[in-house]
Amino acid sequence: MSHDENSLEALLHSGFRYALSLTHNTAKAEDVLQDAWLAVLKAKGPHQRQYLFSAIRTRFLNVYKREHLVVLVDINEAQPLQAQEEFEYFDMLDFHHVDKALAELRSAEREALFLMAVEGYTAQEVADFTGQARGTVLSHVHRAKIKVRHFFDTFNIEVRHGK
Amino acid sequence: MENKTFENNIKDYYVSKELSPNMLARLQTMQDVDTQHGNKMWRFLQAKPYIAIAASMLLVVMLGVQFMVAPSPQQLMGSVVKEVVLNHQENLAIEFAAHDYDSLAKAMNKLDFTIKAPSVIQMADYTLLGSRYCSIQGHIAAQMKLEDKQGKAMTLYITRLNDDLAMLQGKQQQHKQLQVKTWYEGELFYSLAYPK
Repeated sequence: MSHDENSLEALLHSGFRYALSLTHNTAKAEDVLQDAWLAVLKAKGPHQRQYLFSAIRTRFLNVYKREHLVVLVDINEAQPLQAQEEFEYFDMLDFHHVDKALAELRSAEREALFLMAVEGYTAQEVADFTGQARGTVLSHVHRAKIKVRHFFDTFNIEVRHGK
Repeated sequence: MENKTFENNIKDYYVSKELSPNMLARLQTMQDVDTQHGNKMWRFLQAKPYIAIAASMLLVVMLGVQFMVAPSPQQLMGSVVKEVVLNHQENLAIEFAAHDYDSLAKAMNKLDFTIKAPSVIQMADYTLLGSRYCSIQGHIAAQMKLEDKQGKAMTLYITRLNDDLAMLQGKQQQHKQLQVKTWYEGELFYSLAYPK
């Protein structure tokens, strides 16, 4: 496989993962990605990650806002993290559990988490990309961690007691 | 057992997720067709006029032997059938839910044609469930989901007719337990996939 083919494949996989962070549904993620990719090709846009991500985000908001699956709520109480928090999980829970935990999050929370943890964006870069305040982005990540930790803590408790 | 940071758990989860091979192939096909019909060659020729002249002379020669390199109807049919069967089996969710073609024609405003019910299908025998965007040979198309009276799923593809697709008038081919028919009516090309 040529370098160009490798690059395109990697770009499309990244786009799929980003769409998955928004939708948390494989079929919907594929739909959004295909729609966005078609738009990129028709517009002769650059085959770059941020351009594709932007097209994906636009289509996701257009489609799922209409279906009322995207709730745009202003976060008035922005709570920036005081320090890097690390959640230690003594169980290496498999992806099935991570999947269930992520299903508990709102799309905005998963999106912020994905862009920072997977794509390596800083909070400011996420803010610039999504048009939100930096404090809002940090709140999304903070809430995401709390919700995921609550899910795992509950699961671990059930495991220890054999429930 | 190992301790992993929160971020590492999330990253490992998402990195494990990839497009299915079928979906990846479909998206790459859209890119390949776009590149062939794009303006990259035009910019290159503008920058190097002597190459443009040589290319023009070559084009004259190639036109003379075009019948030797253009896909045969059999090759094109094979390619269309594979694409149609792939889309049918993917069974992706519909984007527009409606039971009549007029509503779907209004909703699907990204198409560069207006979808119309084919005359060869007796609509009374089938239930139209809805549609979604797709592509056929790199051209934007509408995929209509239908159900017969026994509840069997069928998919009908509609795209703008071109010279290549016109070669597939009245053709039929079986592939992987599905029968695929192709035809055109007016300016529209249709392809129907249904279980044998």
